[in-house]
Amino acid sequence: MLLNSVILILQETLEAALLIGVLLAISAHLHSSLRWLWYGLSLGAIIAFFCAINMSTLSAWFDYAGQEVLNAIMQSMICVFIIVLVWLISSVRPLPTAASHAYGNRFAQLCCLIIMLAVIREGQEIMLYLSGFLGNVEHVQKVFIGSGIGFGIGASVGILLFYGLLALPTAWQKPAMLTLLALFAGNMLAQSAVQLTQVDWIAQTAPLWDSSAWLAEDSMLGELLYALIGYESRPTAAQMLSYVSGISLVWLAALGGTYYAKQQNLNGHSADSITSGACVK
Amino acid sequence: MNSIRVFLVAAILALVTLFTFVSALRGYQSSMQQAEQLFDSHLLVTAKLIANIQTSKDNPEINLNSKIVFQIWRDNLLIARSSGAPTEAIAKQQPGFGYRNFDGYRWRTLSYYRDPHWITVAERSDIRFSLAENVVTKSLLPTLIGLPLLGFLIWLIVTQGLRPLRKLAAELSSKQADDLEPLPTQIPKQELAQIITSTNGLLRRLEASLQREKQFASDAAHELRTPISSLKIQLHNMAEDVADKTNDLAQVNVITTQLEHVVEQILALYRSSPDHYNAQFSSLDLTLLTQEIIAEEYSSFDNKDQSIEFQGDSQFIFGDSFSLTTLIHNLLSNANKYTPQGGQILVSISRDVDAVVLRVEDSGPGIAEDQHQQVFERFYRVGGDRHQSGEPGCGLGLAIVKRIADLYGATINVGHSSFASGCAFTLRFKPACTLAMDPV
Repeated sequence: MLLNSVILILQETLEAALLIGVLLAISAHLHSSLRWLWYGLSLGAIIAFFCAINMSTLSAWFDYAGQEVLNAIMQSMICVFIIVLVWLISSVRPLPTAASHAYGNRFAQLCCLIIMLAVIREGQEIMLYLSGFLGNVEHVQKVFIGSGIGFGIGASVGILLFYGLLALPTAWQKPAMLTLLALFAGNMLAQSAVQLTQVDWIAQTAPLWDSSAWLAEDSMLGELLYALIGYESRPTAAQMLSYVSGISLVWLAALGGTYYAKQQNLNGHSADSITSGACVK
Repeated sequence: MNSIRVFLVAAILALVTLFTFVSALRGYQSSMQQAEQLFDSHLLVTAKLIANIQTSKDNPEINLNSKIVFQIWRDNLLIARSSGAPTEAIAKQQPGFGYRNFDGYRWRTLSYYRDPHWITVAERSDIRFSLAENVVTKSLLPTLIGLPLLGFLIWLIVTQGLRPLRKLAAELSSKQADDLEPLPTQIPKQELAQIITSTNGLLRRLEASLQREKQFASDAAHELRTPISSLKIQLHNMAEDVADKTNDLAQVNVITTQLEHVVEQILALYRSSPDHYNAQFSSLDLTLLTQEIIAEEYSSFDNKDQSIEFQGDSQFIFGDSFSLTTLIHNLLSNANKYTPQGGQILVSISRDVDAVVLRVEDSGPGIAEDQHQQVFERFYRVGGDRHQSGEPGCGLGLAIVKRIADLYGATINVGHSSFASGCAFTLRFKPACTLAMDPV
């Protein structure tokens, strides 16, 4: 029971913690305010609570495929917002204070939306799991100790990722952050494909390979890699296609944004890039 | 996020949590395996004990009142079983451990052969697991509960460790603008010694540089006095000799007077700096001194049709007449310059609970609030050189006033005057000995 709780909570926490860690590192890089984090976390927790208590209704949607379809929608939306965010931090170069303010607002809104969606998705599952044990005296202590350990490990990895990114040499920070965002976006899109496959909205196909003998998904490292780079030991073609599409779209947004910024520069607009640490509040 | 303390506490706590929890999980898995082996050996002992039970086919069911069930087989015939055990075989007649599902549960089974019997024992898997987990979980609980305490202790240690840095920051921030004394070197931390040494070196170089600047200004002003005096005499003689007193000559005279004023002000500033000021303070009547200076300067006010009024009784402070004369003269000169033709000036001296208050108010245009502190900076003039009054000035008068006020430990404030417009300069001096000076 304890180990099950650790694995489930770790799986849910780790993903959100890593995403928050990367967004916080970008935010620190841009000297942005952190209000988006508190708004995202609290809004996400409130909506997750209402989703959890109405889960039976939500599950009945789409011919009883509601939970999977809603998860797939939220995961796809996270992917889209990450793509827009990458475009924003690559293309807008605002040193003038008025532009910085508008830029900072857009950045904060996007981060808030991403965190909110991540917390709704992970939070509702955690709430459902924990609420199932509330009345069970025999198991409640083990479940909460397991949940505490899972949460502790997930949050610690998120904090270490955040400080690790900030400790990188300045020239490496932007590529590292963009790479992680690209992997997250790919992971989100791949997971949405899995959800849709489970309810037969996408046809089930045979796995492309099986690497579970080398690295099992339910091992500690497997869990970390699943959250960080979307590791799957038996991926299907639909998952791989979604994964590669997510990563490619993020890189296209980064390249397109950089090109757009250069064009703006040539046209005489005031410019600065993420690496120069534009000040946004 | 930019705090060193937050970084240290968060990063250390995250690392400790990660390693502790991962180790705890490894320990949990290992303990569960050990518990499984322990339960298996217990099952084997039970099987061996059962093998010694003398039984017959007449009494096939034995009530053990235990969570363990068993069967005794001979030649494929069930000759005895515990209450709760099924009549079918619960394990194959092969020696060793295994798992089997029956009676709605998963069971750990053991088959043991002692000629001519096969003894099979079984124990519920979920109960074994739960018992083991209860024991192991209890060992994890202190780790989880202790973590907030550990976080608090890490926070305390980091705060303590950063104390010398905070002390150094406080030393630096408490320094006055003109305090270039070296930092104390008693802060015993090796890491900070280099910073203190470098900062002290910087302070020494800065002080030497400022000293050179002061010396240069003083020497230059001093050397300029004599040629300016000669120039003024020559101009006076020229004016006497020249029949046609052209406007140009008058202009040269005005500029020379301005030049002389600037040089005098620079010298006054130099003389009022703390390291050159050696005056002997004695108790003197500020009211009397102010009245004398007003009388001396009266013509300046009269020339601009300004009315000047004085209010106040005799008030004593410790000081010397040279510096106080310079201070009052500069305040009056400031009021005279920037109050328009026909304006009003009010000088008052009063006694507060703990201070003698000198106040000079005028009905001029006043000073914007955002410039109240800047007017005391050297060479600063409201509106720059193109001051709307058109009055000549070098921006040193109020800087000298401020410096003298600092020498006396007096405070100086700029505010609005009691007239419809204008500003008021308020100085609060420490009074001389109350018993000796105040009327009883």
